[in-house]
Amino acid sequence: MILTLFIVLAVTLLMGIPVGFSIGISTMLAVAVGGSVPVVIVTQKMVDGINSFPLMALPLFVLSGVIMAYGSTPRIMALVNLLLRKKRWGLGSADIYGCAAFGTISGSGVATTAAIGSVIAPEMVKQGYPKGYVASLTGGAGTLGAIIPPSIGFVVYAQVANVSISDMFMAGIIPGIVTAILLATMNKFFVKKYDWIKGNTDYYDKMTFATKRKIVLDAILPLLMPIFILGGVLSGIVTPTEAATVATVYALILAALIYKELSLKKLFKVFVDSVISSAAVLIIISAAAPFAWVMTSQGITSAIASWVLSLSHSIVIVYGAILVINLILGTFMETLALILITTPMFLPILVSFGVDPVAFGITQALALGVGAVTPPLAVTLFTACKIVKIRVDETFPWVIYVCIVMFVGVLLSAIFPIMSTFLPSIL
Amino acid sequence: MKYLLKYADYLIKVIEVVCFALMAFMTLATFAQAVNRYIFNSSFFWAEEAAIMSMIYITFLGATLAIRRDSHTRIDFLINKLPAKIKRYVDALNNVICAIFMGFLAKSALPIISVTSNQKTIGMGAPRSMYYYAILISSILMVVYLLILTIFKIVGYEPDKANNEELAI
Repeated sequence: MILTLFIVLAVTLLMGIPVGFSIGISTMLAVAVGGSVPVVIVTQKMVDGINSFPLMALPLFVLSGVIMAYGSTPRIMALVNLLLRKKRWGLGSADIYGCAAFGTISGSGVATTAAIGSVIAPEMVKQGYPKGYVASLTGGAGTLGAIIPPSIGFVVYAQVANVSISDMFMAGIIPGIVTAILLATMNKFFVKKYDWIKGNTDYYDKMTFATKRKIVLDAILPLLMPIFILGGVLSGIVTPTEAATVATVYALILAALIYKELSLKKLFKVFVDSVISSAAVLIIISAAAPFAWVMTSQGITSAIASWVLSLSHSIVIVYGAILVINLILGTFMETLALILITTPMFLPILVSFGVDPVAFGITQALALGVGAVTPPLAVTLFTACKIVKIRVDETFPWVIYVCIVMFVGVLLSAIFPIMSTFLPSIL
Repeated sequence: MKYLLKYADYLIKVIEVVCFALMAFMTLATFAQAVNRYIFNSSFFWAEEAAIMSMIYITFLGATLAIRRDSHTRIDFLINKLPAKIKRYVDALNNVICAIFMGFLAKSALPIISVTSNQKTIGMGAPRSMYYYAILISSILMVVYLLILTIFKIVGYEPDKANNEELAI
């Protein structure tokens, strides 16, 4: 039964069958081969797996993130640009901190890369940054969208690891900021070393005070949204799902009524696109429920755990091995699917070593973020390359430096779990 | 082939409208419930239940739409390395495998539906079988689309991917 489960899963995945279907097919076959429980259980668990109020935060945050692109994102970017305009490396920093700021609105790395990259990456190229560097930096910074709350990955992780979504959201803040600072430091170093930027970079010099004031005032309404989301969730006044629905309604009001950039026709498209993006993830979550059930009820999870523990009793080696596996799998598998498949296997092992589940969730998310910028499957890097209009192989060697810097973030988070656990413990 | 696609896409349009309505309902029901809880200090449990049920239908109906648009998450860098013609047949085979799986899923939903049709949900008092109808209906729709796409793959017809711009997450 175990063999059926993993062989079928591996074969179907590599054949290119959609991840959700692969998990479903292998689980159903394994249950049929095992014969001790009726196959109906798969169908039942598939519905149970998504019959959850907290999980509703996922489609709602997808929707609010997409709607914010209409009118709000450019206004926030203008402000970030204005604040960082004086420095020679300012635009690179704006790229990174813009992604971090957009991360407080969006829960997805790709959406963040697309939203911020399309505004700032072309400007960076114009200023003299090499295209490959711009794509690598934007792809790396874009993963911050999935670390800085709200984060769709954290909603998914909280579901499988049985921790609170609010705790995950709070825990993501410091590691997210640390990663942003690391990337910004790298950017500063490269700009100084290669002296890419020539001439005056201060576009805003000629602007009158009135224009500048307008930029600041324009950004206030969109910036209220992260305040609603984070303030509401962190203070415990609203649940993440309720925050997501308030954010969606607020984003709708901004886009449709105040900025008037969302017509009824576009609204329909935005909704349907969000449905499809969400369904592509939710179907995996749904199929992962019977999968996880088979894993635990058949003792597979504990078998893997005791096998790993028989190899080594050192937390450094075990934790290190788990991170390396995550990094490798992350290069060719989609982040959310990986969280769903690997968490039930790895988390019990780490918990037996006394690792905090919330802290591990953050470290894993950071490690999978590195995976999201490394080919063959590098979703954020692909998006960034599309924006700058280069081939993926033209991002070398810059993408390697970006990965190294992000990996430092992973190590810091693994070595100092306090970075993640500090905020949830005091708030 | 063009006509087959045209008629199949009418059905897609219907599913899209249903999904739009469900998503809008889900957002508003959750919003109304949140407002109600904080301002009027009362809660209506049925709204929460109806919203979750909408999400379950969105998941399975949306998965059908994702099949038509080919936007399901999958590992395709291996089969992308194959020669175009072989890749087409692998894609066709994948579709058939998925269709068989969905067929089994639809079949296994039937006994659950007959058992749960007399049970009532706590909030709305609706029959519990409504949850499983989501799987039954969508599985049948998915089988239909998977088979249509399989035929397209075999004869080498490329359906257009108009509207295929949704943000991947």
